[in-house]
Amino acid sequence: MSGPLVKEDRKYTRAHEWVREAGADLEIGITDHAQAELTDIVFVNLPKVGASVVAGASVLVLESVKTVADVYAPADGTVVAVNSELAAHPDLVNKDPYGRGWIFRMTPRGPPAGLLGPAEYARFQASGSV
Amino acid sequence: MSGTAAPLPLRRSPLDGFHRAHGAHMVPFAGWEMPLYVTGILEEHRAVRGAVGLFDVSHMGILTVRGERAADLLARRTTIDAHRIRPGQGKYGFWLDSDGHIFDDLLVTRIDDGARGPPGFLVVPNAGRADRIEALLRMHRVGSTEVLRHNGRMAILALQGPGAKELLERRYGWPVGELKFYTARWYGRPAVAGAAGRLGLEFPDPSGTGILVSRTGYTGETGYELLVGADRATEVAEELLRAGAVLCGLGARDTLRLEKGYLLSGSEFHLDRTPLEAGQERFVEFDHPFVGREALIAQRTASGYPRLVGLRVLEPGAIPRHGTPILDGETVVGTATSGGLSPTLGYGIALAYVPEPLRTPGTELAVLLRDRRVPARVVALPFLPAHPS
Repeated sequence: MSGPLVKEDRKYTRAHEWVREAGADLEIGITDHAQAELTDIVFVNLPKVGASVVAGASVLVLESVKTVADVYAPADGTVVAVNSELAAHPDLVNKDPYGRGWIFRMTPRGPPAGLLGPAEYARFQASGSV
Repeated sequence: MSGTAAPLPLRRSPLDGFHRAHGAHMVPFAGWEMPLYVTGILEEHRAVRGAVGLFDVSHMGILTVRGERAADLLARRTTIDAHRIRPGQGKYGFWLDSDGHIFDDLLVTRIDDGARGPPGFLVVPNAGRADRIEALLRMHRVGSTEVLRHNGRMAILALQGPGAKELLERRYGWPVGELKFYTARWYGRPAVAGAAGRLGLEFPDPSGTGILVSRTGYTGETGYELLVGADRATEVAEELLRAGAVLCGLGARDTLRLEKGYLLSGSEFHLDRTPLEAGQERFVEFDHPFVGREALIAQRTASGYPRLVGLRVLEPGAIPRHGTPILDGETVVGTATSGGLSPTLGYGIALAYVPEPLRTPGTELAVLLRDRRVPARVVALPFLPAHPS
């Protein structure tokens, strides 16, 4: 069995979100490890475009069959886009967590702090520490 | 988000390698490492409601109790009068403490044929209670009563769903349609064909080919539980998958049982609730002496004890969970013992103990979800009625 997928083209948080730079904006989703642990996502409580977010604070809630989980902002800033496809197809978070399962984009007010590189995150998800 | 590591090494099912080969997501459960899901909880849930699913439930306690006084022991310790179980018949009931609180729920099946040798019973308690129940049975046994534990040497496969009967008939040629609900018999014992091969105390089957098939389950669908020797378990499981069953994990088992309002050990009871509070009086045979009986009779004649009810959440996407507070007006009147999204019904459902006057279906209550009050209504159990037949 291969372990959960970690993509090389983005960074990660200790709360198992991925953060990808998209021009001046950040695109955020949850990792393959996170979706596998949460089990089937059944409801994504998407934020409103234009909402202010605070680094380390909850932006939205994912409801899965087994549990409920927060998704946190990696930096202070403003939500500029949400993946509205998730309203009808929350399972995209499970099926394609790094692609069509992206959750929101934000314009940060400054660079995000404390993100992990792919290798660091791979160690973190396997052992619980970096 | 994920569970913390257990301090003790986890026990593994005889099907552990089978699960890993099929890519199961394994999790700790009641001291065992078992599959939570293989392809996905929702897909597995739908397979059981619409076709046929296969579960490994080898973590359940697998015990036999046999001897001339075996029925005395089981009748004294459970709400089931084991003296009145016919050969091949199974009964569901409760193991109580002297206050009438449920320690465990269990299935007791008489596996002797009533003709040869003393009575013998298969006793299947929950995984997390099996060690204690085994110890208590040994402690309280009298005379030559024999108590054996078979976990490790036996596996239990649960084949559940509207296609289960046809699959077994087609794959093995066993006429399992003859089995009434809560009955069991051996199939595939060439050495003991005929009436004597249907039941018998030999356990596991000495021929190595026999499978004890019980028409029971925990999904609310037509289904069968197959007791099979550990050395044949993987072969049989692979045969059932090739014949069309979908491999399922404990996640779907939980969503399936919740839609049917079935109790989960550790959620609906952990030595704090009686069968009367849990709405399970039909599984208490009051006309025999058993531990906890006096407490239940006292409770039955008193008034106003809490009752387990079903709650339907009235807002789409709002999902109650184990521990969710239940509100009547502004007052917290209970907490959800189980909760989740019903995959079949598409809305949030919960089980909760509420004060007796609030038990009536139609009563308007609320659930508190992340400090937000969401309307909910008491509904009759089960949430999901049986298929029209």
